[in-house]
Amino acid sequence: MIRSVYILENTGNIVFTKEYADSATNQTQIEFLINLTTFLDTIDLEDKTEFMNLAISRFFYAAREEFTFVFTADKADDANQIEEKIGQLIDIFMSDYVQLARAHQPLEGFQEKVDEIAVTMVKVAILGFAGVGKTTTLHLLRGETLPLVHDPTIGVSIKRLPEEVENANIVLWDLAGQSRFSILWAKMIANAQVVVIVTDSTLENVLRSKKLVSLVKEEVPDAKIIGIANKQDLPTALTPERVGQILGIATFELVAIDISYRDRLIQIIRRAILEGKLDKKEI
Amino acid sequence: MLEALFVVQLDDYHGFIVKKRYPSSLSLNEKVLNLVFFAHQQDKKGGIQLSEIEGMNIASYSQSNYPGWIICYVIESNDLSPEEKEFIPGMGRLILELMSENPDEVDIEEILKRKSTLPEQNEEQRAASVFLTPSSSLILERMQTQGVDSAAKLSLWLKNQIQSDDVNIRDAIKPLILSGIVKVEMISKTKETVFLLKDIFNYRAPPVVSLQKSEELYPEMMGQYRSYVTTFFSPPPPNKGYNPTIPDDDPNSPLLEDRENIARVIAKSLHYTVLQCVRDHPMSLSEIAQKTALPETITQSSLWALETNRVVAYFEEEDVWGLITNPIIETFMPEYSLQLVSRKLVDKEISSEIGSRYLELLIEVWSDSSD
Repeated sequence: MIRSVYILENTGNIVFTKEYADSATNQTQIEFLINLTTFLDTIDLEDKTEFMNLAISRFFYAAREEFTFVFTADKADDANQIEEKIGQLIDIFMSDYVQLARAHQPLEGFQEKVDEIAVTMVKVAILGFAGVGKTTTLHLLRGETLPLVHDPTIGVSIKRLPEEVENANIVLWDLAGQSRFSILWAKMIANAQVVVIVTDSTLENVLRSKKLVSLVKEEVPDAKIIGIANKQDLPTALTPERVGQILGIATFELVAIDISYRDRLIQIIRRAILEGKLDKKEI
Repeated sequence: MLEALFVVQLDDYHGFIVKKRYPSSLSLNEKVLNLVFFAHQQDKKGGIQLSEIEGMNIASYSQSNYPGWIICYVIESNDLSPEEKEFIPGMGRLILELMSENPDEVDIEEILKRKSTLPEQNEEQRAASVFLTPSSSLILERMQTQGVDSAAKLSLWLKNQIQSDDVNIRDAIKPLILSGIVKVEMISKTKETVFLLKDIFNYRAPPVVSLQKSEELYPEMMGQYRSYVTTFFSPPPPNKGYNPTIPDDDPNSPLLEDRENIARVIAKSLHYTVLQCVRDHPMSLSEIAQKTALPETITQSSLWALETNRVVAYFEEEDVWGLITNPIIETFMPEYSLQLVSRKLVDKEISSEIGSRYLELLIEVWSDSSD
């Protein structure tokens, strides 16, 4: 997701700034952006957008005349999507606001336009073996009535989360858990920013699900992985802590058929999106 | 018999997107798209897959170089006639190539009406892909100095050249294997050896055949036609003409850049189909469209692309397109490598088994073509 937007002049003056989520911005980063602007003034980017990685973030930048445009996003974000967005921002700024910026006048209405542009699509993949409750989790997230009959998913079922999380539109990819569809998993989790691994909290299933954690780490190394210890209402369920220990990832309890878990689950996904791949303490 | 056609793409964010459908009333659901996609994932080689989903017989076509794209034909019965077996992949190749260019302009109804297809890539086109994969052309250059090399040594050399451990020798060498330029074999059960069997020459030839035939067909345009060709190949001094045989080590040389342009023209099946048509004699747009069975809009775009690459020119009065330079990729026997290999044998860099196997392979490849 786009975490922050900056527009700077080649003098180092910050023309516009907007933060959508914590991007670990600090004075050092601001100084870095000012230096970057000064450097870009000496070279010709030929209207291209480039990016560089820094800790958990990816800085996308482009220059037009005396202005530098910077988006801070996640490494897991689709670069084409962000490049398109930065292009839209530049077009609007250069056509409607450049004169105001040069005259150091307030950019009225610009923030609303930036807010519209900065909405990105975030893919959350739900992965797990057959019958653990992935589709039920999807229904819970969407606030839908649960179907009475178990109808195994074929391939993948793609739905949107009705709510936006900050400036992100969440697309949920519910992957079929039957083993015949396992050849699709690697392909279907491509570009996911968050992968939710659902288990039914039985020892057998949790041990099997360790393979899924390895698959996700291999295929989408920049994605945040969270574990779900579902079916906590059953007597045989392992505790979420124990499931988390076995899987080696942060794991949360769930009873997917209980609507009261919905807000909690959305918050867990929201936090995973906002935090990105690494926890703060790991930076 | 074909009842309907749809083109589906798996987008990493939006999922399955039906990009085109004919007739527009054709109704599809997530299950159909999932199962068609699943069939192709089971056999990653691409090609035709037959499925029966929700009462529909679907013959679908995919190509590994267009991942995520599938062309689906709803057919009457799952027993494909020989004609359908040829026509389904041919039309699939055409639609995939067009969709990768400009999906908005693809008119599948017209393609269906004309039964337009693209042929499979031939040897010349497969060789072109070597120039379009930077690590492949690097490997070819290396093999030109080695003749025979061990795959492990070649991999190390490539990593060193690119200054990266991420490079995969198998991917890099694939275009060379597919075009028959090199062969990789296990010798002595442990050693994977790479043999250079063909070398490639990539250049623009003067359009001799087309010029000769034009003298009879369009005598009145010959002055202009000859002048276009002469301007390119032998312009009056001080301008230098085109001479691809002069050695040039400068990596920024226009000749090297032109080699890539030639490869791009030849590798692109649409342009290549049109090019093959005008190699013989100048033709009008409608003649080319008729001969290639391609829609006129597509033929026109191809001709414009070829014109930009200085391959064809338009003759307004005659309303025809003529070839002014003939891009060619030819393979030849790398005779020079015999000396390289015999020196390696003397220096005991390679075993006699590898040396004799190399000779066998060269004889296998080149005795067939000279018969």
